[in-house]
Amino acid sequence: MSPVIKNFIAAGLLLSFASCQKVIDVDLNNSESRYIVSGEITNVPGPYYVTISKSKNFDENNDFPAVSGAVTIIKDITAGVTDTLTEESAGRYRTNSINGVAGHTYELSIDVDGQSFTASSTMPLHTVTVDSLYAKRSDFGNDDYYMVPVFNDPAGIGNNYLFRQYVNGQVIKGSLARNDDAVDGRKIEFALYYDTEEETGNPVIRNGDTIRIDILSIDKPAFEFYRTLEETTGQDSGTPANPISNIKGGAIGVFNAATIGSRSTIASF
Amino acid sequence: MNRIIIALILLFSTGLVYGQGKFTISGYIKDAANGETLIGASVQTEGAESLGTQTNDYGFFSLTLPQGEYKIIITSLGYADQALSVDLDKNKQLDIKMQTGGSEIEEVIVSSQAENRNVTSARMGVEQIAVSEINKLPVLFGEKDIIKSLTLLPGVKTAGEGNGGFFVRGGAADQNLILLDEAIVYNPSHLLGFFSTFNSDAIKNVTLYKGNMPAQFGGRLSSVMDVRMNDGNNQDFHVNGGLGLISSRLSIEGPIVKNKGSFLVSARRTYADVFLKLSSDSTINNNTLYFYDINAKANYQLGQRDRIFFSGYFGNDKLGVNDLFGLDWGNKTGTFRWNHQFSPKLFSNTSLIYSDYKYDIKIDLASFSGKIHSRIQDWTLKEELNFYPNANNEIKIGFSSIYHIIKPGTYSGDVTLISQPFNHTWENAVYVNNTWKATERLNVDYGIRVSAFSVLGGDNKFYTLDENRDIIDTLSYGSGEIVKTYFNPEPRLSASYRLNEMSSIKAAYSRNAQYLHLISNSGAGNPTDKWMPTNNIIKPEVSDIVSLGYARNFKDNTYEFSFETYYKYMRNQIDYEDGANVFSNDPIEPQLLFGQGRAYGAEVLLRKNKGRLTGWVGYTLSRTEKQITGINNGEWYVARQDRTHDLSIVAIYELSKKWTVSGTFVYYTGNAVSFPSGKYCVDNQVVFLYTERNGYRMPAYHRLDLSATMKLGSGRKRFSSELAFGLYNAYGRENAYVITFRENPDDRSRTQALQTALFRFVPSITYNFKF
Repeated sequence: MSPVIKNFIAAGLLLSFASCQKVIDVDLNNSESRYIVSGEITNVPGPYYVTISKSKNFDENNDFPAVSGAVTIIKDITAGVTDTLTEESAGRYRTNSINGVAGHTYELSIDVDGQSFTASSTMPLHTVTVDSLYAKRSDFGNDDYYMVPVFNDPAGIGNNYLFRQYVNGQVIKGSLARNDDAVDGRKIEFALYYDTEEETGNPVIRNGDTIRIDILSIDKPAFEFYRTLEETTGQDSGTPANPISNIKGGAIGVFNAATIGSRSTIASF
Repeated sequence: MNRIIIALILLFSTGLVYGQGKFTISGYIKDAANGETLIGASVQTEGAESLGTQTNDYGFFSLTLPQGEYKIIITSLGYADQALSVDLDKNKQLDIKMQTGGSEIEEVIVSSQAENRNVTSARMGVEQIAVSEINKLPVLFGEKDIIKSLTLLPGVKTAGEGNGGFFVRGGAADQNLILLDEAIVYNPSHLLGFFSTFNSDAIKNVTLYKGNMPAQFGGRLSSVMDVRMNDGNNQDFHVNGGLGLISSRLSIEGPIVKNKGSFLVSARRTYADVFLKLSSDSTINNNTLYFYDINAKANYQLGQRDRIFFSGYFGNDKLGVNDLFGLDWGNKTGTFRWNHQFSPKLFSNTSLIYSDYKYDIKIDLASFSGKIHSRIQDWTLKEELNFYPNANNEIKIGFSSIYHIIKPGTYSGDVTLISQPFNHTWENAVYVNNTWKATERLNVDYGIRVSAFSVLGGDNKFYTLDENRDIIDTLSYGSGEIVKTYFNPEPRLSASYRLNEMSSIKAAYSRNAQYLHLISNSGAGNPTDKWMPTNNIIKPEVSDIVSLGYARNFKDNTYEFSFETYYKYMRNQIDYEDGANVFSNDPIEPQLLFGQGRAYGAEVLLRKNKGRLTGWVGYTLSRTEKQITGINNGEWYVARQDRTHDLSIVAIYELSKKWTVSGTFVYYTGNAVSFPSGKYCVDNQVVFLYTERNGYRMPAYHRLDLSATMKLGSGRKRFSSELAFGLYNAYGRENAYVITFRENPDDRSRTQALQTALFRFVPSITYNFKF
């Protein structure tokens, strides 16, 4: 094959396979502002926080309005304990006395502006023990490194996990929730892939960085929220939709009672 | 049973008179050069009150006329006309061989009778596209593509770039019945939709019925794409092939016994992955990405009255990432057919058909390896009788029986999921259809199909849901036990009334039922989308379509104009609920929502069939909406495949004997999509808020493709070759493939929309040869 033809083919394939991206203007409708609730209680001693904010229109900036003055209560249904939260800063509510216990069911209730929202979540009994944590070069050939936590899934289907990753204390954006349907009772050792494109603002893992993994054991409704949130943020469904919230009363969000297994290490490769 | 058939035949053969002194001319019409039988060739008597018929799918015709002397004109698109004098004093069997018309520049004389078929035929919404025409159109990477070519016709819409599906008159992609030699093809695309499964080298004929299908077809709501493979040359051995940028193909055909039997084998393979290896990027060069397919067919004439055919297709796609992840998928079909001529008036075809679609996912990591296997298998027995009682009636009567086995997912390796049970179902239908020339002006095509779908028991469970779609009861049935049978009478009627020699008005009504459903939330036709049979919860989809039209030809049939409008109503439409977990092993039924759909539109087609410049302009104005309880607050919303405007312009120009150039231009309204109408912050990230289903539009899509074919001189007699040059997306329009939303990387306090386009200027070059 002559070099001319070879170059031509290479050029042709380059032209054809290189997809092109550009920022465009899309005229998006305004939407009615929705309440956004996010609360978590864990088996790690408190205080715990509930945040309440509102959604806004796409073309506005990313300062989301905090919702103040809400009467926010977390109840331990199992133990019969009630904690009325204190608004520590605008829209951010802190527990005062309650401590999370594995196996207990918690109820969140919020009264604000004549609206009331409730949610319930049961903290799983199991706490993950992260046996080891290391950083590994991508299996798929790019040069980025990803965290690999090693842990064992207890026998019996129904364990749901939420993975939270930190690089030098900075959280990696993107919700990553998985269940044990296909890996029940096994030793789990998967690389946690995340979007390392520079545009996302996510940190990349470098040699010597402190990496930390929190593996949260969560109940099924909380898992459904994080699973569908990952689909919403992934934007690759033909029919995108809002995540399935476990908050009743019309708010979007999650109230999540979880046990946490953590591990930190220094990435070395 | 026989008595019922005779009674039905009598009922349907309007004006059936066994007059004295009538005789039948019957036989086959074939290509003189290669012996291929010709489908839809016209046989007409010359004279004022012309009588005539057309060859069936096997090239057979039968025409019963009073005793006398006739001049019979035989015409077929692309062939020179033939006139025969027949002294009809007894039944006659003719074997008619047609010469190819050659170049259009040579001005082959063709009679107007066959060419005005769009005016005379009772059928509506039928599109035929000649393979020779497909071969002249510009295409992506130089790969001829039957499906992409069909989408240039009005009422047929492409599902988009990189998507093998198509939408007919507002129907979803799974509502098209795609048949290859009568076998159902479940996935008509290769490489995630960039190429179609059909290798045009092996294809004889493609007919698309856009909703008003005759009674012999059923099982899908929107359309039937009936693809027939070539039989193979029964005169001489021939080889033809092509070398392209990313694929090559080769076909061999020849006689088994000259004039009695022939075979054809045609194969293709893409080698895009060879180029991936050239890449220095290690994320690309270790990947696998190719497909191959093989078409094979053989036929043999057992005697004057019997002929048998074997045909098969095997295709496989392989996609792999570094040996860690693999996705293979492919269709297999096999058809055995037996043609038998009981009498000059009664032709029979019996088919035994196997159809198979499967995909395999393989994961092979150091810590985990596993496989998922999914498959659909169909066994079909079909029988059809074509009865030609007289020159004014042609009756088709038959049955079809399909046994479907669906294996949704079988797991192995380290995967701890329990394999999903197989589904067994049985789909049956009986039908009768008459093509009736009622008067000189009025043609009516009418029939009825009665379909029955039986859900069979076995390992799979049957659920009872309450109003919240929670499972309240689970039932099991014995293997082979009938759980439930659905019956649907499907009347079909299509009529044309000739206003004058050159124009006619048409009307049609059809009911169609569909029992297998592709449940997809990608809307993009992934190889791993789930086919679900009708069961106790999932009801058969049913549609009613009414069409009205006007057809007119101009300038001695040089120009062909048609205008059709339609209204379609669809019941028992299915969709996933928001947030459905399509990869879960949980029962799917609680995650499904049901509703209705409606589609209406107008289609205009102006074609030029003769001269150096041929081609067409097609335009569709349409609307497609759905209403499903649980989606969009139960309000009607536009379906993804809704396209307000859809325009196609196709031109093929024969510059000289050496050069042919062609161009296609398409313009269509962007797909209906769901864009966010707001945003919020949760889990440390900005998330977008969706308020309505499909409330937005992608930007309008338009594209111009060009191609040029140069015939190369050849020193040898039998050898001919050509070079085909193509330029896809000639003016480099960045058509939006997908629009996503994100935080602005330069100003994290803002959000922005990002458009991704797939292809700009894709040149191609293909070398084709034949000897």
